[in-house]
Amino acid sequence: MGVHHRILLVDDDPAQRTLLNMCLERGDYAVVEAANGEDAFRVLEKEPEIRLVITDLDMPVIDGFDLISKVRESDLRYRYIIVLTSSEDKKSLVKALSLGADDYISKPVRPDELRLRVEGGIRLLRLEIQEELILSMAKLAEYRSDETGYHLERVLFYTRTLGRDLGMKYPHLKITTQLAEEFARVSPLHDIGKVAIPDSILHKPGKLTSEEFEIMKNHASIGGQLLKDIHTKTRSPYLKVAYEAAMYHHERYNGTGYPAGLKGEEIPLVARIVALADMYDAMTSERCYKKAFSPEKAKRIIVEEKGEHLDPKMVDSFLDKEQEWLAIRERFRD
Amino acid sequence: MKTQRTMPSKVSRDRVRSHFQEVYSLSREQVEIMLKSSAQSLTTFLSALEDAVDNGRSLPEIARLGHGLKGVLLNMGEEGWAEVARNLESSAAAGKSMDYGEIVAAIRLGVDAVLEESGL
Repeated sequence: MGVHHRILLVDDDPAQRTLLNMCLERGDYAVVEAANGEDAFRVLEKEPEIRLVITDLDMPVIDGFDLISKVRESDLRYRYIIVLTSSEDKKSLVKALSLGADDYISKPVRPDELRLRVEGGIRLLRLEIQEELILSMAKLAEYRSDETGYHLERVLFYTRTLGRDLGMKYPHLKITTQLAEEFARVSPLHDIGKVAIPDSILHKPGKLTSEEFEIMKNHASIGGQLLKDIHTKTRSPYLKVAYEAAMYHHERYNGTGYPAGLKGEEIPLVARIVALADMYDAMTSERCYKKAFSPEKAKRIIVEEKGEHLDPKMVDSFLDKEQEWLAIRERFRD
Repeated sequence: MKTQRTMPSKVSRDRVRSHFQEVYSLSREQVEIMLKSSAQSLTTFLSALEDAVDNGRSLPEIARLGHGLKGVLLNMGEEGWAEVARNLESSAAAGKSMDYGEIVAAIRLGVDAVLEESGL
């Protein structure tokens, strides 16, 4: 049985609603109708599972522009909004898009165009659901390991701080604000492969034997391969970055890391960033096999590892922004 | 000021039926539903426009109603009549003084075969 996506159709003209409804129902969509923005917003409050809205702009009571604004203000989960517009009314279209509409269909609506625009929206919503599922998997992995509390949150914030600063200091790295955000969003997935590591090793209080350490090392390639497989199926760019973070965050700048022994710039940028974020958090947190290091001791080790374990650019940024790192540590104290 | 223009040919129900069938691939039953629904929307917009003109309502209101009427006519595949409604809309939006009542009457006459379907 297929999934019936529910679509909210908002137009003050009943004939327009009936026509679009007939076209959409043929595509196996369940359509809910509203005659103006006020009715539409009421429906959305009652039915949070409706994630796709097709709305006219010129309507009585609350028009399409106000509806877009209200939906965006109250979005807990993203809703995809397609506006119906006249082909000659570019001004309204630009206004609707700037308020947060995602796409548009010119009137009179052609059924094949309607179908393709709706499919595009659903594709995007599906990717978001996939991201949420994957992040839930990361949380599950975290529950299993000893890194409870706010480990993932701290790594996420350290990654964001590092990414943004590197983007400003080193333009050739081409880390835009958006890319820094992307790095941060994938960072919780870096240790997802730990779900496959036996409890006896994951929770061992004390040093691992060389044999156990070899098993532990597998978490990078297991997590990386898992995310790579999902990326191959979905082609989501988010998952490609996530794969790089999980697979290569234990590489070392001098080429002595694992699993691939990559060196310097061969190591994907996101992995070099997450490596420092994860290392700093591991050192300054208590684990089953060690006490937490003081921030001063952690800083000393990071400086020693400049150009060895860590990319020198990352270390310089950390030193410049150490106060921000300490504030994050303080904010997400376990 | 009298409005001099050549109006499109009168709309026939069969022409609208063919449009719904060919462009939207609607079943016979759906075509009849759309014909009736379009007729009702046309009636609503035309009556509101007549009321707005008769009672001297604002030009933005006439423009808004003209916009709605244009949308219904476009969905019916009546490009020519939609163009008449578009001119009415843009003239009202631009604040032009003209005989809007005459244009509305011409549109009503042009679509009267469909209006009979409205049941209103």
